[in-house]
Amino acid sequence: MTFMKKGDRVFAVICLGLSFWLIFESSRLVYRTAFAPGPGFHPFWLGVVLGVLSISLLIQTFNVKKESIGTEREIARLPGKDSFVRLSLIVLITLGFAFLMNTFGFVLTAFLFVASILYILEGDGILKSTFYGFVFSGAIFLIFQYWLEVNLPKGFLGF
Amino acid sequence: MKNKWIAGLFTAIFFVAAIILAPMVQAAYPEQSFELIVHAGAGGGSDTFARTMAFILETEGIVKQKINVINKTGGAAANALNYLASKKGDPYVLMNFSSGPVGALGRGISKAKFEDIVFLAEIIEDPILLFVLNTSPFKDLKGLVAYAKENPNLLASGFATVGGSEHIGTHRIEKAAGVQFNKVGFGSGAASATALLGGHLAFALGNVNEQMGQIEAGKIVPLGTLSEERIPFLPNVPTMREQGVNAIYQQIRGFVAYKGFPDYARKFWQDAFAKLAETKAFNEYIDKNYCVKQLKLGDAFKLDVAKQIEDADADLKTLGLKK
Amino acid sequence: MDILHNLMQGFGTVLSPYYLWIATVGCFFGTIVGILPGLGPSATIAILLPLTFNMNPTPALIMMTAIYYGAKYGGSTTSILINVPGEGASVVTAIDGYQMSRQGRAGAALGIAAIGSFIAGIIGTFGLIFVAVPLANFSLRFSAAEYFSLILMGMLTIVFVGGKSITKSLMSGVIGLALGVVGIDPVRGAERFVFGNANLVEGISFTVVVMGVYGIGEVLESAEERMKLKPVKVEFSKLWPSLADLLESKWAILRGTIIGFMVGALPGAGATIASFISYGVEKGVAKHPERFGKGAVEGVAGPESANNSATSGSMVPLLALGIPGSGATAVMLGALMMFGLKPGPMLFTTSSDFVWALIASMFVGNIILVIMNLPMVPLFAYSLRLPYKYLYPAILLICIIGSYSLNTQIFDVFVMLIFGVIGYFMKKFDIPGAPMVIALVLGPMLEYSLYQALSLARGDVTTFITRPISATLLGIAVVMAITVTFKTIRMKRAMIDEEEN
Repeated sequence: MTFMKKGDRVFAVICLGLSFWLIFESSRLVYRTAFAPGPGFHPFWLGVVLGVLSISLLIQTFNVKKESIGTEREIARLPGKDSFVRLSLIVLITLGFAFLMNTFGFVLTAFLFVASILYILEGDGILKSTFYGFVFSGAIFLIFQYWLEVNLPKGFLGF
Repeated sequence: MKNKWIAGLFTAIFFVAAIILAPMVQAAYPEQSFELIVHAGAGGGSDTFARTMAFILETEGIVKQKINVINKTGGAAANALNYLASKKGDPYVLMNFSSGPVGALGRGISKAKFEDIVFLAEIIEDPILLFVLNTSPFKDLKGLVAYAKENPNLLASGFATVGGSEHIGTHRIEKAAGVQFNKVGFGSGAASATALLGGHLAFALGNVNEQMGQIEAGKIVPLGTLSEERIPFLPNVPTMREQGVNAIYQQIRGFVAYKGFPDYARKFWQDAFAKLAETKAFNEYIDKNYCVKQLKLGDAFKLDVAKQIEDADADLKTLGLKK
Repeated sequence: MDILHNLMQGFGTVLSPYYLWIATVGCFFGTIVGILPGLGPSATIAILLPLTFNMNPTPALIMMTAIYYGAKYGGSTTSILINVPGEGASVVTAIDGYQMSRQGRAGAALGIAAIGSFIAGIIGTFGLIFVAVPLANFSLRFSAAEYFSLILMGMLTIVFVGGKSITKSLMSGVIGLALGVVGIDPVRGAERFVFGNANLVEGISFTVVVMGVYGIGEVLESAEERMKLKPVKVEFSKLWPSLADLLESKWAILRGTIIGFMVGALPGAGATIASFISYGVEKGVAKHPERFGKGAVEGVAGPESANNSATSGSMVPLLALGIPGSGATAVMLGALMMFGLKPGPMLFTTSSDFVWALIASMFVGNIILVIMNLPMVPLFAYSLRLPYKYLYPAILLICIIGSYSLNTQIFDVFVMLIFGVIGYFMKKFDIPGAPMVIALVLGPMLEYSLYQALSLARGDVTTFITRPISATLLGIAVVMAITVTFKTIRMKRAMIDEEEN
């Protein structure tokens, strides 16, 4: 079984679960008011439709004739271990950014963010990473804080 | 080995430079600049009001520091209130206050509670009108109410947001006159007015300023206002109360802070707002935006809001918006 | 001719150095705003509002309109170059525009976007002059039922923008609809799927999802392997649209212009919906619809023209009726009020100088924008040669700024990240993202208008068919659906025949 088919099955099952949940949650809401559908109407039917579509997709994956469903990619596979580590790092660093943003201030955090991505993930030397970090965060500062006056979080250093 | 040393040296230089430069950057943004929180998005009524007031305060020299408007939307004003609460004790944080936050406090959906709010000044009333199309068969409120009595749930009326000023206002008219309208929400005053203009509604409630163009063109006709007294610039429009329908809704705008706001700060701002109300720029704003000056400082403001919350309580419960 | 005379007067005012400068500044700002994802024109106009306090109404409004236009021109830039739509109206542009970019035709895409936008802007402004008042009055006849049918038409594009699997497109769409349910429901104000989190009460922001799925998702996919992505070869000859491209697009541009103007003139429907409908129409009338999604130039020309003429269109209800059709026009309305100008039926008569200067400035603005943007096209296209490893941290940074500055809350950044991961998996599993995003925008409107239509009709379901305009729109939608279904079936049969031979 190709990756695509497996993927489709996983997706179908997830959606099926989602549809049950939608139907369940909507049962707790008012279905209809005097003239018009109430809050519960919409999610209920969405759940039903999603459920039907999920089952349909699932059935399609069992269709032996079709190699894969609507795929246009030749290479599609889950990331290998290396890639997985890379991606997790990117997500974690970005998450870290979001957390630190309010304490350190946007500009400083941006500097750390760019520098660490370049250093850890791209193998740039410390100097290069620092330099680019400086350049990027400086640009952000000038454009957004100074010129456009968008309110970016200010940290304990005041900027 | 050598590389590590150089790297270390550069990093150290960088940090020292940063620490030295930081205060210089800090000096460009005076530590004394203020934050003015707005619960609505940039460009909306509350936001424009807040920004204009901030602008006037700055340019008239009443406040010599910068006032930064921060939009904290979301949560039906709860987000803004929560943010305000997080700034407890900070003398540099204020919040714009209007029916959105009133509703949030009334429904109890924010961490900030009514007792924790320091009321600085109420400065404007934004009157709400009931209006019909000029082609409407109803020439006055009496006719409208009489028809509605005979035909419950028939007349379609428009309001903006659920639980908002027009929604509660319409409900109060229903209560006071003993009628039932077919109330339809449109999400915004503009959409509701559009529906009225298109002839799809019997009447709609809305703010004056949004409709003035149409009123002056004679396309829509106000049948009554929900304020306590007649509006100065629409002297021929009677209040609801005058016409026998005891429904009042005061839509006010003002400024508040959070508990812990030092007394000297409170005094400063109450003075500032009092001065603001006297400036030419402010009075021009009032004229052009069709609101009514209504200056109530401190406790008088608080009393107004307390009464509003109390009055709205029953309405919210009937409308199913509050348990 | 009275109109001509007034227009000439308007030009006379606008073509002075001061006003030209104002218009240029506005265009420039607008383009930057459009390029940077997350920074919508409404927010910037509001932020720049204080600047305009010191100006007279005419230059102030000229600047605001220029910003509004500029944003639409710039919004397509990031869509095409890095698959991150600058704003809602540029989402569909990303579908084919980015593909063109990957094929080394970024210059062509950017160029066509600019040219299409220019033509649409000019024609749209003419439309504003000649048909504003009657169009405005006509648009008043649109009630909830009509909006419902119109949005349904827009929803059909969901099926069109997906890949080969209709099932997966539909599922993506339904998920988008479900996401739109989160928040306060329009009917009773009940909270749905909020989980007690105050941040979710206003719903999941469309811009945040778009930046997550498209921006972050794309970065995650491309950054999987270090240095794997070679910068796309950009040949010098491909830095501009070719004559063939231009000829292919001419009808798309025309159709897009008309669709955009009409849809934009409807209060509440704007550039975003217009661009969706345009994309759907283009794919529907194309001889070879399978080219769409793989870099069909009409997929860029149509929607980009639509979103520009929608801008002119949205000025129709503003000027003629005093009703703001969108966020940006609402701000303009506020500004007009502050200057004591009352938009409405009287505006054309009482302040005709102002109105005609504004209209003249729209023409001038479009010209300035196309002059600004066209030379920058090769520059932007060339910038793709920057090594990706420097590009993607910058993209991430911009997305974070964009999502944060929406509501000034970190929560949105988290949501964006979550959708970034979701977007990554969607790309891996070949689940199209566009249907979800489109449904997220249109879903709430659909539900809202359904509720309003039925409330106004007091429960009478036939209202959608008995009202003539609504019935017509539904009819068109049905025709579109049938046409595309037939074409797809024929196409699939042809494919199967090919495979078997």
